[in-house]
Amino acid sequence: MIDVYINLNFESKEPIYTQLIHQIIAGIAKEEILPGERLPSVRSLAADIGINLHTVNKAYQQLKQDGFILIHRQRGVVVNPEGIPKADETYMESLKNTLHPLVAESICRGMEEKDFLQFCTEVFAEFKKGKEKEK
Amino acid sequence: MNIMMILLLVILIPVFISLMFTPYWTRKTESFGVSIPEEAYSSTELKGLRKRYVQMTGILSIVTTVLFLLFYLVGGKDENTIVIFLTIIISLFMFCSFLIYLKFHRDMKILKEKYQWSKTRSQQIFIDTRFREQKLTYSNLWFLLSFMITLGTILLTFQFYDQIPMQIPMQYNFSGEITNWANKSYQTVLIMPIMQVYLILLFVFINVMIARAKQQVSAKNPDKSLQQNVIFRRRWSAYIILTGTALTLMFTFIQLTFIFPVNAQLLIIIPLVFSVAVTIGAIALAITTGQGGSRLRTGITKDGDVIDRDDDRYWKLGVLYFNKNDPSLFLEKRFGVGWTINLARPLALIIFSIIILLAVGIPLLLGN
Repeated sequence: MIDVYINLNFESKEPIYTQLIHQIIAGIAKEEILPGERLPSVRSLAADIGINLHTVNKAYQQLKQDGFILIHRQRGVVVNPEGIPKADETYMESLKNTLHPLVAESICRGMEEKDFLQFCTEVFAEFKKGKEKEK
Repeated sequence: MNIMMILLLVILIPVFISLMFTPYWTRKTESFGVSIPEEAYSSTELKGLRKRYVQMTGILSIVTTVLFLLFYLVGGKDENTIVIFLTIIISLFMFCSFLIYLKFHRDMKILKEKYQWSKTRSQQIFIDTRFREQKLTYSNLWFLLSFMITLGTILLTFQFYDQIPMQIPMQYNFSGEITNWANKSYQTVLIMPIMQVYLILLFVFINVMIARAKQQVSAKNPDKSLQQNVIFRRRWSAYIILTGTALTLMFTFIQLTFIFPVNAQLLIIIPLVFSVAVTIGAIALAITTGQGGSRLRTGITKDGDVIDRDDDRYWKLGVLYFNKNDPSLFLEKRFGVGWTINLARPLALIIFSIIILLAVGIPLLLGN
C-alpha cells in the first residue's frame, strides 16, 4: 500500500480549507486516491492535522457539492465510486472565470502567451507522471 | 540484600536512566521541548547541550543516591520516618530535575531564536489519508486471556472460600511485614479480582489510545517517519498486552497466596522479578525504538528541504500541550517517550480523572 499524503503549508496565504480541497482533488487526479476509497472522517482528519473541525468540514462539504466525495452517515467519507462528474457547461464556465484573472495578471506582468501555455503543459505532465508512478 | 537496596535498584536506577537519557530518545525534530529542524539535532551545539544535561541530571542522581544511603546508614528504621523521608527526597528530586529541564528548555529557545530556524524554512504538515487503514496496534482480543484468568481467579476464590483465613493482608511495610489487615468477606476477597478487571480495562484503554493518538509525520521525510511511527505503535501495543497479561497473572498469584500456603520468599521474589522485567522492558523499548520510532533505522532516506509546523506556542514549558483548535485528545509527548493529552480538551481531562479516581477509590471502598 502506498502512502497518500495531504501536504499543508501553514504560512501560505491560501486558507487551509482550500489547500485541503486542492490536495484531495490532486490526489484523485493522480489516481493516488481511487473512486470508492474511504477518506478519514472529519474528526480524525482534523485531529491529525491539529485544526478546527469546521475547517475540515468546510472542505468536505465543498468537495461533496462538487461531486468528488460522498458523505454517508454510516460508511463515512468516500470518494465518489461512480467517478467524478465530467466537465459540463457550468464547469467550463467557472473554469473560464477562474482562469480570467490569472491570464489578466500574467499579461500585466508582461508574460507571453506561449510561456503561460507552457506552464499549463508542464502541470498536466506532472499529473500524468503521478499516474504512471502509481502503476 | 535488604529491602532499601532493592528499592534503590528497582525504582531509582530506572528513574535515573530515563531522566538522564530522555533527550536522546525524543524525536530528532525536538530538543528540550522546542521544535527544531532535523539536521540541527546532530549539530555540535545541541550535542554539547545534551551532554551537559546528562552531566547535570547525573550529578542530581548521585546526590539523591548518596542522601538515600546516608539516611539508611544513619538509621531511620521507623516506618513513618522512612515514608516521610522518601516522599521528601522524591519530591525534591522531581522538582530539581524539572528545574534542570527548564534551564535547558530556555537555553534551547534562545538558540532557536538565534538561528531563526522556523523563519527561513517552509513549515509544512503531512497527513497520510490511509494511515488508519493499516494495523497500528495488536487486537484487544488478546486481553480476553487476561479476562479468563481473572474469571478463573474468582471461581477459585469462591471454590476455596472456606480455606481463606479470617483476615486478609492488605498492606506490607518495607521489611515485608503485614501492616494492615482486612476481615474476610465476599467483598474483601474480591478486591484483587476487581483490581484485575480495572487494570485490564485500563490496558485496553491504553491500547485503544495508542491506535487513536494523533498521526505525527515528519515533513522532512514522510515515508520514513510514517514507517517508524507504525512500528513504534505496534511495539508499545505488544508491550502493553504482554505487561497486562503478566500483571493479571501476578495478581492471581497474590490472590492464591490467600488460599494456599506459599513460600514467603516467593511472595517477595515474584513481584520483584515482575517489576524489574517491566521496567527493563520499557527502557529497552525506549532505547531501541525512541519516541515516535525515531531511533529505528529504515531503508528510506529522502531529505526534503521543509520542516514540521512550528507548534511551540501550544506546548507550555515545552511539556504541556494546550491547543483549543486541535480536536485530538492524545498525542506524542514532546520530551520523553509515550503519549500525553491535549489539556484544552475537557474530555481528555475527564478520562484521566476517572482513571485516577478509580485507582484510588476501588481499594479504599472495598477495603472497609
